[in-house]
Amino acid sequence: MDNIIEIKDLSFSYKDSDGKLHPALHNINLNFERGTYTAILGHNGSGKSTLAKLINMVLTREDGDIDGSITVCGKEVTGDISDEDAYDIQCRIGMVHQNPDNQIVATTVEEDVAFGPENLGVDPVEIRKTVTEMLKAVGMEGHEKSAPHRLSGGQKQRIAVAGVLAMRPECIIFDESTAMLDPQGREAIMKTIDGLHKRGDVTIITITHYMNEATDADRVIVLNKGEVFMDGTPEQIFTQVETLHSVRLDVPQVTELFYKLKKAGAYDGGLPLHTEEGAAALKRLLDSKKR
Amino acid sequence: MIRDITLGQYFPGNSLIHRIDARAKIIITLILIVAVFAASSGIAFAFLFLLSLIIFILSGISFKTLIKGLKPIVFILIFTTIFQIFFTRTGNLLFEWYFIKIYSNGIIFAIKMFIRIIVLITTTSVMLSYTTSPIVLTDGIEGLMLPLAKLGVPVHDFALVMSIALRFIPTLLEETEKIMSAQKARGTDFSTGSLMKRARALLAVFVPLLASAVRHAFELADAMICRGYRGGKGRTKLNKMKFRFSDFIWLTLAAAALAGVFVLNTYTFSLFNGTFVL
Amino acid sequence: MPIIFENVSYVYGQNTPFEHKALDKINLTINENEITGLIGQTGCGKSTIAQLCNGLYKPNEGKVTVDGVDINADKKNRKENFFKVGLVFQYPEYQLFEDTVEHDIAYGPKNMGLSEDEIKRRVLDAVRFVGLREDEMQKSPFDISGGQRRRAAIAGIIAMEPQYLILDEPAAGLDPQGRDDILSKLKKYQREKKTSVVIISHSMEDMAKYCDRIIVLSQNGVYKCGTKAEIFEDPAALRDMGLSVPQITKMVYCAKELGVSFDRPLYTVDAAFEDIMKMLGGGDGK
Repeated sequence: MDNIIEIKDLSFSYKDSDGKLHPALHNINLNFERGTYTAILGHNGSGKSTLAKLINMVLTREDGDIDGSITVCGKEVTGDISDEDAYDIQCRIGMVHQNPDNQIVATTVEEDVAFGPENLGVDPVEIRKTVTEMLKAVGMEGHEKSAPHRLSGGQKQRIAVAGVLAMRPECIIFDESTAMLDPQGREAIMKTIDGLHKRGDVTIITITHYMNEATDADRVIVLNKGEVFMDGTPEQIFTQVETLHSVRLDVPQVTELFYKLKKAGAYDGGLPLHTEEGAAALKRLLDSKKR
Repeated sequence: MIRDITLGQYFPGNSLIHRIDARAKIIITLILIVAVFAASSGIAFAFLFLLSLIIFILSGISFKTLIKGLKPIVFILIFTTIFQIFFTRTGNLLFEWYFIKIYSNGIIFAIKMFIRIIVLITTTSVMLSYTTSPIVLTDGIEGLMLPLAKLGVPVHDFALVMSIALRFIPTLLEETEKIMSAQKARGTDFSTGSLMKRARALLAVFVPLLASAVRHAFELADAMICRGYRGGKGRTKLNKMKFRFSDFIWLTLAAAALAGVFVLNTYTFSLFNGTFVL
Repeated sequence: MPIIFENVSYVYGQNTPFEHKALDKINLTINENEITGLIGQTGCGKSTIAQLCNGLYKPNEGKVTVDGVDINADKKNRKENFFKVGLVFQYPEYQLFEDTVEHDIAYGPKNMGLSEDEIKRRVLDAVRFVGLREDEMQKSPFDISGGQRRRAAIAGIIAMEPQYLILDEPAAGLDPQGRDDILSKLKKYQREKKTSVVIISHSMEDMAKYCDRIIVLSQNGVYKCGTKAEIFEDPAALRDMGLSVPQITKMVYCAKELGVSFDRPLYTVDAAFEDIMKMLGGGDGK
């Protein structure tokens, strides 16, 4: 198996200005296979963003105590790593943050998308091609000359995605990238992620607290209080309604409905996650009773 | 909304003036400023006035806009004109009433000063602010300062700071407006009360705004690092400024205009049997 | 008495190149003693309506009356409207500025010119409603967590004891737990205080869960105004307006195309469960 990220016995505690330690992650063991789409779910404070920041070296030994190791693209990022290697890893692991406003550097859309490749010293002719390609990939072609502050939140976030894509990363981490968006913006970003996954050349990790944003992933990891609480396919995770409720996480409404029906003894099939599945299961259920 | 306020008065367009390279524009403006201060003869002033008129017409900017732009300096204009008229004591005495004495040179100096200011404001604002966006202007300044980078001046960093500032001005303006409204809704009074009270009211805007700016800065820094930023070294640029042949022509014309002013300075003539020497 | 909008129009940046009509002759009523949900796509003027309610914005046309009084008629008493109609902006935690959480919550009541004792009573009352802890009161607002800052900011408006409390996306950016927490606290506040609460949101699911009455705005003004059942009658229309309806409503809509129909519009899991059980019971002949 080709793992792009390997996390072994990882624990992390933040160090505050007084030198006091605040544990954030405890004994995490996870591997991320190349080309897969993983959703990490959890409440605020579950440690999901901390994990992302450690992978991308935004958090280092200077910020707290690290136990165990994270290996990205074959290099251990939690140990002694040369500046050149660190830079290389950071360019290979792209990251889309929460606040769209704080990721856009340039005064026009095209220059913002070009920012990453410019830093890498890519030839301008090549950059131009990349900008065109990536704006198309996120459905923002035609906005090349627009000023970022005139775009909607969802559009800004798509520009941020294009900017990360332009670095041609091997893995992209979406750190609560939809949290500040309206339903339209959220849907557009989810569609973009789906499109990227279908292209298949990039590993995707999304960090979210919206259940319905995790149902399309290959794999769902639930973090709770700094530990891996659940790990499996969306079907495996979301059908464990009680377990999720015990940590106050929601399940999709459709799943919840069929779970209730099952508990009442009225239904005994598998629990559906998606709207269409639910409707079909409902029809089957009612038809079977009629007979 | 506040974010719709035009920054620096830029009017998008595609006129001959709009299309000049920003670096050339800055140099041309500097040359014209020198010319305006070098001009001494009446005919040189007439020439410059005509020149600025041509630039203005070529730019496609409306007369109304220009007048609006001149409004803030009306007071200076009137003050300097009056000052010249009443306090110049050379040339021929034209008019005397008690202590008020008006000399011929007073009139001439006033007119020249008037033209000087008008030409100065018109050319700089048409060339640099009306037809050049702040972004392009920043690029232009960076381009001109590039030779200094060889001497160790952090030209690139300076340009990036400028461009990030431009990027965030609308964002921060919008936030200021929002915070002010939010505090107003909590009963903050920005317009009445003692000085102390008003200062406190402003604090209610300033503190959150500062906190917000700091947050922007930290998050942006993270995002920039994630996108491979590590200073200006080895960076390329998507939009390289192109110095076209036409830009050379414009520069040559500006240089010719400056030379023209020096030549025209040597021609003077007199009006009304030598009462006025221009 | 309610807040009433009569033919209200509002234009941003009038006489500038960026002139933009945000509201065009809209009519709506916000009733007393219930939770009204105001929902609509971004850009349909939800936040504009909020700021028209307390007089921060003045309508270019039409009239806004609160308790039967035109709030823009008397220019001197503008401040009174702010206290009568409390407005919590989006991401209100970004407006905190005092040295302690307690002082920040007391800021509004202080501006009202109340006595020390009264201010203290109101602050404690507001803190109880939003569920802030005692030890958090003396902390700097910059030292508590994001979710707690949101509560502190909401408490700052509740402490003014407004007759109407309008909240612009009070749960934006919070996780599901924080979201449910804030919204159920607001519901409790409304039920206990018997005031009027207006919640502006994008989430139809939250609306269905917490509001008594819903006003749906489209780009052309008020689309519909009514009870949950009335609003969810036509889920396709809501979807066409770019609003996300609860998944359960979507499923029912989907099932209808497969030939399964329900007697009433459904928007909560519990109601759907009830109906399905009834249908199953009927089919069994029990």
